[in-house]
Amino acid sequence: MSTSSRTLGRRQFLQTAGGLGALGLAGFLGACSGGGNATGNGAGGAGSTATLRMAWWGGAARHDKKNAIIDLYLEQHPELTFNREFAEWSGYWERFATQSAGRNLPDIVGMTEQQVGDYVDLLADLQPFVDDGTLDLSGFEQIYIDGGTVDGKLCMVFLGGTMPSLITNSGMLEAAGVDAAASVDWTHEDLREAAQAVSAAGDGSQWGIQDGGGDAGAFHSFLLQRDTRLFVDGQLGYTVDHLTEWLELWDALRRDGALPPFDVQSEFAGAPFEDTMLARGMVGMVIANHNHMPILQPHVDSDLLLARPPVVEGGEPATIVTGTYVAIAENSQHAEIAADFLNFYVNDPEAIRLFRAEYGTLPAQEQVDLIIDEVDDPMRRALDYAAAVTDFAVIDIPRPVGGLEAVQTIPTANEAVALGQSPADAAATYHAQAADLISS
Amino acid sequence: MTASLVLAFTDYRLIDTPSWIGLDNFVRMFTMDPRFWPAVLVTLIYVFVGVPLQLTVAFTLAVLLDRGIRGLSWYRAVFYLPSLLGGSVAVALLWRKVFGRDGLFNAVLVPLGFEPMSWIGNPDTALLTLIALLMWQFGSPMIIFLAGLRQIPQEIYDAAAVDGVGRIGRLVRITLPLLSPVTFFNLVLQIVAAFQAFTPAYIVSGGTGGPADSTLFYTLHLYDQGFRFLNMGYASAMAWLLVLVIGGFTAANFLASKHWVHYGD
Repeated sequence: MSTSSRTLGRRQFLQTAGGLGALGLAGFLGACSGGGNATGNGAGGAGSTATLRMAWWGGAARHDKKNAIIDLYLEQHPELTFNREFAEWSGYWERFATQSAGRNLPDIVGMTEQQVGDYVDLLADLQPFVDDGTLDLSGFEQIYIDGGTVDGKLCMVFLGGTMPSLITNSGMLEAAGVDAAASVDWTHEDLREAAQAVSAAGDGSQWGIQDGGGDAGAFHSFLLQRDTRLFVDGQLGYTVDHLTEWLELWDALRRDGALPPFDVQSEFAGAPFEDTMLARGMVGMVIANHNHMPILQPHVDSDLLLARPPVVEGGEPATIVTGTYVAIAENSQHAEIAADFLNFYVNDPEAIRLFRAEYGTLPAQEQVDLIIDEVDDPMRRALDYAAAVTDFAVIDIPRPVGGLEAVQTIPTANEAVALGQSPADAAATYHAQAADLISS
Repeated sequence: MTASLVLAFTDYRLIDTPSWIGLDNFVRMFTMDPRFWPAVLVTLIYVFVGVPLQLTVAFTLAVLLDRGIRGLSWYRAVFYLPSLLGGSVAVALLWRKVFGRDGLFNAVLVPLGFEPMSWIGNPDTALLTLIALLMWQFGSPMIIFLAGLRQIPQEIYDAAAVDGVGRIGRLVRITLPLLSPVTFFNLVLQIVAAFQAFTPAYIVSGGTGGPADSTLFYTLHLYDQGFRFLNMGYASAMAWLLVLVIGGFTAANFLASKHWVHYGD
């Protein structure tokens, strides 16, 4: 418990208070904590053999699911204690950075391929646990095991994946005379015509599609169609021409009035789900991670449909899969227990039912089979979509040092074009900037 | 803090061992970082437009409230409230609602014939909304002004009135000079605070400093570099430059104060 004071969350406070109460140190403290939704792991007690720390990011719904899974695990292991540290996305990584510097990472941490390049040395090698049977990944599709392998070291376990996809509001498209169901086979030209039609059908405050030119995932899927990636061999994988072509595709939509004006676009850029332009009925389509669809659906009256990113001229369908992973810190004193917990997390039927497809695509067919009959309709559509695009889905790879900052130049370049710079000029400037960030 | 001073001269990616690179961080800042100078400009505009406006509002209201109107303490409390809420997350979120396309501000303007636009989404006006937010936090300097006004002896005003000095004359010849130490105090305090402002831009722009970097405060860029991109050596260098700049402006303020601040004794 020596470090918990640095990161004491409300729930931890309740737990700590609950623990104190159990020890009989102060009866009234126990009464205070009893009022909260005590999470059932005040079980420290006499047989306590280990205290583990686990950290993740997310919103309230996700915290509840993670807590439920941990509590389920602790029912089988009453001798253990789990301290839970959670935050929203940016707060999580801020804390992660400082904990890394202090070599004080929690035993179990959330990870993605965006950051793992920076942190791989601080993560435990999981292969020994796979070899001795502690961690059973035998049901996993190979690409998801590969996704967690960095420089030959299996350092993270895939929990779920998202793909940048075209989400369409079928009602709005139909009202504009567009066949929404056909969007699964669209080319970029089809998208342009449809978006234009949706804009035209409105009274000036409705547009075809949210500006996706700054979406790095969508750009990445475009690059796959051009047989390259964001990064290849630790360097930028795309050329100025690639970026120019991409920016031009979106600028054409912009000139046609298919995109919202710049000020509207930027106002809603970082909006929470219920406040996005799609949820408010301001746009008919958006390019977003496919696991956002079930979250957006309650805010939209008509069905939201999922389609792969539109195919560009001369390209083949392709989509990038960005993973959410879990890893064990190298500095963990309880790596074996942590590995056993991870095994429980990805294999126990009850745990899988609790978490469902919160992170999107699942790594094992067994997991899908377990939940497919229990999920609601939007979630089933998302799972069906993931199954339908397997053939051309490509898993993302760890980014080189500086990659996170380099990717940031893509939305900046798109903004520059939206504000009047020519796509070619913007591409030249921001490609150079990105290349600079990777090499420096 | 000492450690961060040393780190300012290193390449420190937070998880690796720092390596000494001399002045490279500062060279990069001044010559290579494409977002550095824009961030400096945004911050300077925020400080040197926002703070004088904020103090003007605070001073005006303090003078009005000093007239001994009924329910003064109630007004004082109400006017102070925004300062308490000021830079908080909730207010920054509220600001999005006020200056958004469907916001309160447009609800007033559009019926008057203005085209609807998003004030926080437009790079030309986004910083102005943050300056408006700063002005709105006039409560704390206003309370200090009020306390200062109470210190000015009524006899001086009475004497001036007898001599036939008008209302404006009394304000310019008596109130402003005798209040100057308090004005100076407020100025120094608010300039330092404005240089360090972070939350408003972070929340209103969703952490990006957008649109198009128009609200990229120096502190926001520093935070990005340190905690998002892990360039902790560079971030330390930026932080120390900020310390020096704030120190420089404060010193300049003190030097200039000799010419306009009157300590009555």
